[in-house]
Order: sequence, then structure tokens, then C-alpha cells
Amino acid sequence: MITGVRSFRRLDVADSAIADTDDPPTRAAKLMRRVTKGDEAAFAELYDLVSPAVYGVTKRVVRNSAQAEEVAQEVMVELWRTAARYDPARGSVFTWVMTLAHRRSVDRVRAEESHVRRDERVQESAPMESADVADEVLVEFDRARVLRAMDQLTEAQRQSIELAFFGGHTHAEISVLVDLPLGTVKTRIRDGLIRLRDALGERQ
Amino acid sequence: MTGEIHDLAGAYALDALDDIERARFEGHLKQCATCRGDVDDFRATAASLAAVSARQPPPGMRANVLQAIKEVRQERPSPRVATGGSAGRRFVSGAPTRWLAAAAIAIIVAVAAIAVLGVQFSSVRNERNRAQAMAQVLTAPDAVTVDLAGAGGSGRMVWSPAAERSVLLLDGLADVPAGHILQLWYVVGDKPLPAGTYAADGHRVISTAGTMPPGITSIGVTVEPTGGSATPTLPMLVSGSV
Repeated sequence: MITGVRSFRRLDVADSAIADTDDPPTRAAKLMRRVTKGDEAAFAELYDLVSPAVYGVTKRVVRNSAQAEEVAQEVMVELWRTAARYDPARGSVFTWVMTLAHRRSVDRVRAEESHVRRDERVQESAPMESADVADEVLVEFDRARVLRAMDQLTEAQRQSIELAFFGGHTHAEISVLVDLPLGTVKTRIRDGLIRLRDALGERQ
Repeated sequence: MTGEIHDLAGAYALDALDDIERARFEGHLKQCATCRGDVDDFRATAASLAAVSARQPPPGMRANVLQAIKEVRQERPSPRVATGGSAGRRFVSGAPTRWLAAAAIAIIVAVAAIAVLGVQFSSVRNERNRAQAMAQVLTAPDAVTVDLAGAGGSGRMVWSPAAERSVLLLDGLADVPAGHILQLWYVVGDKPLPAGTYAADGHRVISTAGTMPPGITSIGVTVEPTGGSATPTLPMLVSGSV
């Protein structure tokens, strides 16, 4: 209970008005604190910031437009419902929302698609699609910077990460798809993420 | 074994683990600050990948979502675990609420797996007991995984000596002929011991199984007449070495 009181006080301070000069991550963090307290107007603003990234990831993983929209809506409602679970100490609002969006997308793909259909889906896996969104949406790294970081990956690392993240495949499935031992795929995913993280200049 | 599970942080952050691996890794996460840190970092990295794909959602979605939340009650906050000093970024290892949360997640995963796989239970109580038994095995620190493979499908057995139980997962099975069931075998030396019969639900099985006998060398699954057999009808659908 004491911690509850403390965080309540911290929330009040953090609720100071959103300034025009706030960058999208800062605005998202401020909005999220209001959303936690049931502020629907703040949620509408947060929707505008994060929904393009949410829909982008659900569309990329689920592929079917109608299903992608359905999953994106579920993600946004889940964001509202579980707002209190967000812990700023563990990452940004953007990371939190993307984690929800990706998890939901993968769950949908695995629940609904047979192995055969998923194999077909990966065949048609598209290259990075061009972003067609306003500047004001919440992306913490601009597209060019992410693409440059991805250039730092070996082709094998890039393939493994794309099959996992955008293909929604398990590492065991990837090992079958690329015909390599599971251990090799695990290492590629891990090393690829480390290299990507370093290239993006993440903490640590 | 320990090194192996640390290696899963990347695949976990990309949601590239299957349900059983995911539950096991979440059991590990509650004990391993290094992996929690890795997962947080990798998730942030993965989120940046997602940013590249951003696109405007369909126009009607905004109104749908804003309407939908009016009907949805928000979860109450749980008291945040105090994290001392500069370690604020991480959980306190072993804090009770986190233990409970991880256990709850494991149970939810087990229940979800049951729901997804459509296994029928006679009562809710049964289902809950089963889910808890599975969660207990999947999150046990001493859990051992045996991969099963063969012409008849694929699968995995997770076994906790401490819990004295196993969880059996089979997938990609062919239709079991009428009047037949699946039978699990524990092979000790070259002697196969019957270890229970299972009905496939669709092409899958997810179930608890008993503890493994000492000296076990391999595990196998065969198709047998309903009621089971004293010796396996070969070939094994799937098998794996312990």
C-alpha cells in the first residue's frame, strides 16, 4: 500500500500538461500514466501515436487485412485493460505496446493456421514495406536508422530474425525451414539481436 | 542445461518459443536477472523492427476501439515491488508477487494450450487441476525436456523428478484408426514399459503423464488397440532418447 501511495504522488507530478515540444516517446509516457487512471481522452491520443505501429506489426505477421485489423483492435483494447501492468522501469511505452502486438499476432497465427498455410505464407514473405505514415506517430527510431542497423547483420542473422519476428515461426520451425540445427538458429537470433541492439545504440 | 536456457532470451523476446518452452523460460526468468535484462533489451530492439512496418490502420478502427474500451473495465494495479537504488530497472529477484505472477502465467499458458487444443474435460475443477499440474512441471527448476521425433509426428516430453510428473505434447499426428488409441512407452534398457494411453484430439495430444522410471533410456509412442497393449506394436510413431 505504501508503494501505491508513492506511485500515486509520482503520477500527479508526471501528469503535468503535455508540451508541444515533447517528442512522441515522452508524450506516450505521459499519456500512459493518465490512461492507467482511466482517462479515455488520453487513450484516444495514445491511440493516434501507437496504432500505426500496432497495425503495421499485426499486418506484417498476420498478413490477412481483416484479421490484422481484428488483432490490432484486440491489442489496443488490451492496452487499455492492462495499462496498470506497464512498468516504465522495464522499457518504453512503445516497446510495451509492440510486445503486446507481436505476441497477439503470433498467437493468432499459431492458433489459426495449419503448418502448410504458414509455409505458404513464408514463401510470399515480403521485403520491408515502405512506411506510409505521418511523422507524428510513435516510432523511436526512424526507418532509415533501423534499415542501416539491419545492414549490420549477416544475411543468415537477418533471415533468422525476420522468420521469427515477421514470419511468426518458432525457432524449431526456423531450423527446419533453413535446414540448420536448432542450436545454430538460437545463436543466430541471439547474436543478430545483440548486433542490432548495438547498432541502434540501445542502452548496455 | 543452464547455458542452454540462457540462450533462449532472444527467441523468447521474438515470441519464437512454443508454449512449453515459453512457460519453462518464464519459470527461469523469475530466477535470472541476467535473462530479464536481456529480454528487456531484446524487446526494445525488436520493437524498433516493428517501427519499420508502421502503416495507417483502417479508418474505422479508431472509432471501434474507442467505443470498445467504454465496455472494458481496467485491471487494478498491483502494488509495485520496491526495487532498491539504481537497480530500479530490474525486478527484485524472487519477490513474492513476481513469483506468483510467473506461476499464474504458466497456468494461463497451460489453460490456453488446453483451450486451443480443444481437450475436453468433465469439469472445470478437473481442468484447473490438470492445468496446475502441468504448470508445476513446466516451471519446475529441475525440469528435463526430451524431444520426440519420427515418421508419425513430433512431440516433446517435459519431466520434473521433483514434481514426479511429466507433460506429454504430441503434434502432427495422423488420424488414429477407429478402435485404436495412442500408447506411451518408457524404455528401460531394451524393455518397453507401458506408460499410459492417450486419445488424440485432432492431431494433437497434450496431457500429464506419470513419473519416469529410473534407468529410462528412451520414450516412444505407438498406436494400439483401445485398452492398450502389453508390448508396443512397432514402428514407434515418435520416439526420443532420454
